[in-house]
Amino acid sequence: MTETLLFYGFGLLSILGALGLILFKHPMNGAMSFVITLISLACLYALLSAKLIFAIQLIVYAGAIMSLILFIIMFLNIGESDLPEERGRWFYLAGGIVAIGPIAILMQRAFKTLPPGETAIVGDGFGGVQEVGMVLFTDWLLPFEIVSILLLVALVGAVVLAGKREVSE
Amino acid sequence: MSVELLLSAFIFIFLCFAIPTVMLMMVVFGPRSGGKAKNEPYESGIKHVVGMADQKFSVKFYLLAILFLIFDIEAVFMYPWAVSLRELGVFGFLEMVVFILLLLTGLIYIIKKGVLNWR
Amino acid sequence: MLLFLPELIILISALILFLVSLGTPSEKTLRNIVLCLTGLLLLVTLTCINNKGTLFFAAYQIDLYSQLFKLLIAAATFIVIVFSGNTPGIGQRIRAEYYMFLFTGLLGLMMLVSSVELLAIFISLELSSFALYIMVPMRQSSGAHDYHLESGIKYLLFGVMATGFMLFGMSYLFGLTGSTYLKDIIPSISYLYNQPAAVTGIIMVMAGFFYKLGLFPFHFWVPDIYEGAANETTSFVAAIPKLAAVALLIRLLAMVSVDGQILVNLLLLCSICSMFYGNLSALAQKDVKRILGYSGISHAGFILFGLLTFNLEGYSNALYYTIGYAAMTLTCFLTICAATPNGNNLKLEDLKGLHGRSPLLALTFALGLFSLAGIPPFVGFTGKLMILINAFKQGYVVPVILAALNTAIAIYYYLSMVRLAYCSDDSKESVMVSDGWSNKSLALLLVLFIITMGIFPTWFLDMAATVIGATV
Repeated sequence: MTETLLFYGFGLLSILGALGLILFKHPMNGAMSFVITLISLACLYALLSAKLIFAIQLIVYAGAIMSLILFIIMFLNIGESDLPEERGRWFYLAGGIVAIGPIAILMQRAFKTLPPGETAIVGDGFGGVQEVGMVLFTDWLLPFEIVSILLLVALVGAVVLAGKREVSE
Repeated sequence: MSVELLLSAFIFIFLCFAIPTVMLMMVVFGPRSGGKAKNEPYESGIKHVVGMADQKFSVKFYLLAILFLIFDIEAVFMYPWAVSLRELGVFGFLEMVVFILLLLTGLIYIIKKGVLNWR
Repeated sequence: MLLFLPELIILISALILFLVSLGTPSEKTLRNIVLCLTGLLLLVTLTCINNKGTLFFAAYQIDLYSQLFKLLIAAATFIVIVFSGNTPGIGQRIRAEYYMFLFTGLLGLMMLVSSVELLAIFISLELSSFALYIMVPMRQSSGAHDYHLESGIKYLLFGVMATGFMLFGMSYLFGLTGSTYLKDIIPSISYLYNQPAAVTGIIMVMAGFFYKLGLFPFHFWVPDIYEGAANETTSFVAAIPKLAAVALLIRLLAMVSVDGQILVNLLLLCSICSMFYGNLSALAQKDVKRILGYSGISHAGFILFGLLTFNLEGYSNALYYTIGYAAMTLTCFLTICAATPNGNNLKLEDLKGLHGRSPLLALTFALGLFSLAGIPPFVGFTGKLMILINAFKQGYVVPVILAALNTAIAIYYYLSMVRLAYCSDDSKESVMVSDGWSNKSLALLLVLFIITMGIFPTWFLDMAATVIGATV
């Protein structure tokens, strides 16, 4: 009972946060409301008893990535005059709702017509740090090793692209 | 009630009630004061802040933040690895050695290219 | 370890280039190193073609199918590296890093071809995309073109969107079947592919490959990135990721069959729309790379159309067409790169009098365009004919008519480029063409290849059928 209530509560919060991200005019407000989405998602993971993902979501997303985003917003130093004039914003919003409507109906049908399969009962230690580690380092060894190359590419790419201007000046 | 449930319930209450309440209280009960001294910028004892507020920042800050993020993610992967190392044995150890060596080359790159030099 | 040799070679090459980038290599040394590494890679993929086996807890499958695609990818990369010469579009300072990204992107694509597990597919696709996201804005700034950063951002944003769709779809597939291995997913999904949930999942997973292929709903990046990226990068983007995307699409389409009516109709719509969108938009363009971008969209539509017959013949036709398409585009891009030694974009006016400046390159360009337009006896014609005949046999009458109509539209803009190259005088300030012996011999080789493929399709089709038949 509590689980269900909390699930709906966090679902609602994450949707509200995402809406805020789109609708707030100032990027800082948008970013702060996005934090709510990230935290609610972390709690949804916790409700699934995925402890490691919960922690990573909080540390990496709500912590590191959010601070990076805030960093950039601070650098750009956006004043009231820099914000774009959003004309026809309600018009676009209505358009978006019209566009999303069919997808929502499709999703609803998708879940309604699912075959009544048995829900898999997960084991005792599901989502724990050790269990994730065991799967990650055996079944998903290849993705794990590629991630290191991926991070290397991102690192060199950031240096190459950000250092570009400096030398040309 | 499991730990996760308790934790998420706590965060829910925190997000939905505690933060808005505190913010509301700040507005309603918080002390207000005005005047010249209040509106003056204060920077660690320096009376007059030098320069404009809307100056351009060096891209280095941003680069540093990105680098932090990348090594942060590297550290995240070590967490489950460290916990299950006993079961994984030597093989698991070698996996992580490859992972760290690849990222170490990245660290050598940024040191060699002088990204960390603060001029 | 021997099974993993091609990938290992690329990884080591990337690390060597990484070390090179720490020093300050001369232009010539760097180029020689890269040529050697690519040549070595080509040789190794050739020797490894008969390898068989699985690696990494069955997430990585090595069979003739994957090895053939690896060979194709390595060969196409070799061609790009040879004709891109000194990479005039990339600044000298970051050239070593550029090649490093090229090799890591290549690594991602090669791993993609062999991956049979959803997470491995996703991460290798990401690796190849990441490298390309960075390669696109690495172009050297010049007055003539200054939108490479803009195109880089566009490429990144569309790519992230497509990846998001794909990951969401993968979660659906996992939710429906409880496995991330394709060998478990395919049999279980075949009971429920008319379920809306399965349809959504499959379509969304395919979105990631549609993006790589530049197919209709995910085509928005194509013209801008083709125009904004350096000529060498565009040649890479135009040919090589598409090979890998087709390889994975064939693997994934095993989830669907002709009975999945909703899904087939949706995909058919995508294919026809991309043909029309590409061909009609190309009519109004002024930049040669942009035209080739739009033509790439329409050709992607043709490839998907070939796949949609869901029989072995259709798959092998599509594979044949993809190989042919890669050869044709590389032929055209070879001319573009050779005609722009300063690394600028090639406008339509710049083509004027190309036959006077370099007869062989003008001929190569013309033959490449004829082939893209679908004029016999080149591979473009044979491929289109095979696909249309096979689709007609399957009863797709209206789509076949629409596709044939598209071929007619396309001829106009291809031939107008040929007309400019041949039937107009030299414009005044035309740049000299760099036609060294390497470009000339490569041009001859490519032209011979597209003609041979066009005249003797049976051998290629049989090979494609054997390779695919063993996998799907």
